[in-house]
Amino acid sequence: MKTNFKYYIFFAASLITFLSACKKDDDLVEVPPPVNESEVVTTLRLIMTDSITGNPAGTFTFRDPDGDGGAVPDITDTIVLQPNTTYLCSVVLLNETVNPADSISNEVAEEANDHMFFYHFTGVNLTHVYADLDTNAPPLPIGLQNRFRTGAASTGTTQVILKHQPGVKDGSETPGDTDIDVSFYTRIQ
Amino acid sequence: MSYSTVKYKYLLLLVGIFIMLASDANLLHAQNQDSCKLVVQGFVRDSTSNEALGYAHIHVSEAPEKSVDSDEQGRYVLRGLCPNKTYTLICYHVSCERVTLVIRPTTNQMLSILLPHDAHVTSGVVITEKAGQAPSSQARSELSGRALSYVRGQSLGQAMVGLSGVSVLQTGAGIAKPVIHGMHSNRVLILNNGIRQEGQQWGSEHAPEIDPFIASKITVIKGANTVRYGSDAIAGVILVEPSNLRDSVGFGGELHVVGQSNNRQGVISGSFDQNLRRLPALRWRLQGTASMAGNTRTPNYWMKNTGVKEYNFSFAAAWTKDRWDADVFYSQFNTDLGIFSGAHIGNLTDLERAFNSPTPLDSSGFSYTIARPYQHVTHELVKTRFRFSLSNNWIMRATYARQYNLRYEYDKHRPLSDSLAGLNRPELQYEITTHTGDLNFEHQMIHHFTGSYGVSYMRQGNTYTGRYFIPNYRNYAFGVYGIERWVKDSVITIEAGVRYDYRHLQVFKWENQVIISPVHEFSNLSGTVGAVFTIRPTCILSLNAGSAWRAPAVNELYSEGLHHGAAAVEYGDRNLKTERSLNLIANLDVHKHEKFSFEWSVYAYLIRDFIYLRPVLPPTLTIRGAFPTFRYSQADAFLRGMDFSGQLNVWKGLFCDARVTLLRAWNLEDKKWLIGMPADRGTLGLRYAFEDFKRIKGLQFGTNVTYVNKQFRAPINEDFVPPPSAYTLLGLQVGSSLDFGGFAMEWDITASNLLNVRYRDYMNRFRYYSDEMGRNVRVHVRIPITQKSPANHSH
Repeated sequence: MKTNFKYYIFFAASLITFLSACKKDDDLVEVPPPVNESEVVTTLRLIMTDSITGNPAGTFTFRDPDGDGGAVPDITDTIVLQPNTTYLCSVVLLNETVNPADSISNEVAEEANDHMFFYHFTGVNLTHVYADLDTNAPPLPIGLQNRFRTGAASTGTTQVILKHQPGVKDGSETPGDTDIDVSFYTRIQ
Repeated sequence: MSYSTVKYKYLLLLVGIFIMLASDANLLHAQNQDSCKLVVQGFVRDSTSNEALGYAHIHVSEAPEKSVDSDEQGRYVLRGLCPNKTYTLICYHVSCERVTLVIRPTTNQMLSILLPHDAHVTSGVVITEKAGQAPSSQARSELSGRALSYVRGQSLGQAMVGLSGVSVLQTGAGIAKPVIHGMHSNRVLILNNGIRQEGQQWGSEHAPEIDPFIASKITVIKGANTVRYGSDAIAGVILVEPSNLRDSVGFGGELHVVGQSNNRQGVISGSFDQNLRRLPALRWRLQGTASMAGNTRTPNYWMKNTGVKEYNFSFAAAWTKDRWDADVFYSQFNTDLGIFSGAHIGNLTDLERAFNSPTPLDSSGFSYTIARPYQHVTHELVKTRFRFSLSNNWIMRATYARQYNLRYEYDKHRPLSDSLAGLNRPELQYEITTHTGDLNFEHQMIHHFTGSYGVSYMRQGNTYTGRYFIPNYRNYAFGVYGIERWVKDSVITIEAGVRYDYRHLQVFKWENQVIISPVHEFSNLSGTVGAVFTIRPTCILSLNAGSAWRAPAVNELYSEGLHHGAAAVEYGDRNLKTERSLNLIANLDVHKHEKFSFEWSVYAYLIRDFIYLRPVLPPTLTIRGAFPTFRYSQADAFLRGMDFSGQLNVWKGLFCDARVTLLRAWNLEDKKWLIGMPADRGTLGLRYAFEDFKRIKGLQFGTNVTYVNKQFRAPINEDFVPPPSAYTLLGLQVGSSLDFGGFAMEWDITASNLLNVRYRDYMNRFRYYSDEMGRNVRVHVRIPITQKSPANHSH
């Protein structure tokens, strides 16, 4: 009988090990969470206003509503501007996978010291100056607010780049990771 | 699984235990003279040189009439042993001191007796081989003893690089997974203590979640292996095997301490075994490992955020009775793995900039800190096994195991939104729970036949939270198999086996705001035939032909998204079919004592519907720019190659070792090379085994040169950059044991990349971003915990 007692101890120990390991059966969950809570930037908007009249001169949008991959971006506007005009250009970033859409540009503004936009123009007579500054010492541009100056009629592309440069922002494009890189066809007519 | 089935499972377990107890009571006195038919056989070898020792005398104290001598080749056969009776074997040989072993055979057994030059060093090292089974026709290579000692402290993948035919697929310095004959991930099956490792093995950047310190031996069985181990094992199987639990009364254990210079890694691992005198049926072991490594250094710079922390433990216990034994095993593996931050890129422009920069744009000094991006992985295994001798020849084994795998992936940057960032949640989380059950019947030699039959079952569920990469799914698998081997006078063995498998996969996925739950069913027959010819005792030729299959894995069917490290968008294809392989492998094993030995295997795989990532156009346009796009596709492929490893005794204690691995992998449909296949490599080494000197026993000093060729056989224009150049590395190993009056401590020092060469390897996914590790010196000490009991005392 004494031996039997030993079995019980041994099997009780095994059973405890066994049961304790089974406490968490997460494979019972069959249905994935409906809302993908991670943060994505789906939409970039360039909002142009005539700097003299203050009249809206157009909103140009790049929109990829399901984020990276999946369906192709459903809107890629062509920027159309008038020659020899100065525009104020403000940038809006949105996460449209959630309802209501989440404004990512506000978050960028909050972390302005770690972010910077860059604008490159090819083939089109367009120049750009920054119209905002962060609180770094000395202050560096952010690029959420800009001034675009058009020249003679021409066509080409405008490339908008947002770099995430935590702790390494120095006004140049090299450091950090690219968060946004969108090219718009641009026509000055 | 519903609540009622959970209850049912426990009920079954209780019934099982009850049967165990009841059956034991009946069998307690069943043993009599008739059952004393066990055979224990093997070779007597020199523990240092591994040379066979002919004419050694093996004295059986309890039954002197059963004592035998080994023959010219060192072979001995002990017959008529009673199961579960304790025997004390005293082994004498003229050139060695005697050794005393205590054995307790339960089945017919292979037992190698290693005699040290001086019995004080290690009192009888014993290797128990698989019980009474005929040799398999499959090529295998093994990491144990000194070779394993030299890689203690490294991850499982890195440790296996030295094995013939095995290379490694890396993601940076910390993540390594083994590659057999150019194939990895889902095509290689890892058995951790007999259980199929079911974790995140589908991903090439997910290292096996196993503590290599659990193993006393790591074996690679090369070639199609589905019949015995289940579908998926197209390229081979890796067996991670712990040493047997202590089979004599007393306690013992070992302590390993490892330090590495490059990443300032420190590892401590220990195990403790006990078999109580008052409870001889119970044997148990407790084992644990803790490791911490900081940033890795390439010859020119530190790699930021490449530290690794790991803590693992395991517990094993076995209860052994006359005709049955039961054991439980529990292990937990935990790691935090820093991902080299220079490899986290936003888009292709970033990748190009990272590649063209001589040093990473994200630079750092040395640190143990693990910051974002990093991974946290936990893997838990519970295994219970019950073995029962149905008769003298038949053994039944029933195994149940549950594995739980948790994986957190943290991106480089927290979310911009403060509320989300404050939670500091992983951006990606997977939980995979797997239950496996196996029932196996094995028979020992009956009229020249040995064989094994069984059924196996698996149920698996995956859930994810965070960013979508693979969906939630449930997976069921069922298999039934049988293998027979025919042995004729130890000269020829012929084997044949067949297996049927069925797999059921159901996926749960949101698509356009609705949940879809498609079902995929796969079933297949696979088979193997092989032969082993013992041409002479020193020359063995084995041939094997096997068919194997693999159902497409869930990532191949459903992955969809951007791979941050790889700057590529990957799409699964839910119409993929089963991948089928036909494999031929020939292996020649020549072992002329210590003078000259080699192992040479030649292989070919014809794989129908080989699943691979095919580049597709146009590139995927995202808000971060355009990314190259790949889609899982199928094409017939042909892989062939050879593995050679040999050793030659040049003069006295001077040995020359050589190893060559060649592989050609061809896509038959696209008429081009397959991407991501390891380049040809060769290693040449020289080592000197010194005579024992006072306390220093078995001192060896070795150096080797490894050459890895450039991978010329890669598809053109499918990669961001061409394959890196060839490289040559110099390594060094020295080690011995130190005898302090019956207490033998072992030590070894190894150095890799001694010349601090700057190089990149084609099989490292981070080759775009950084060089490989520079010079590294590793020190390893093993301290045994021994107890001098009268039974183990050798003089």
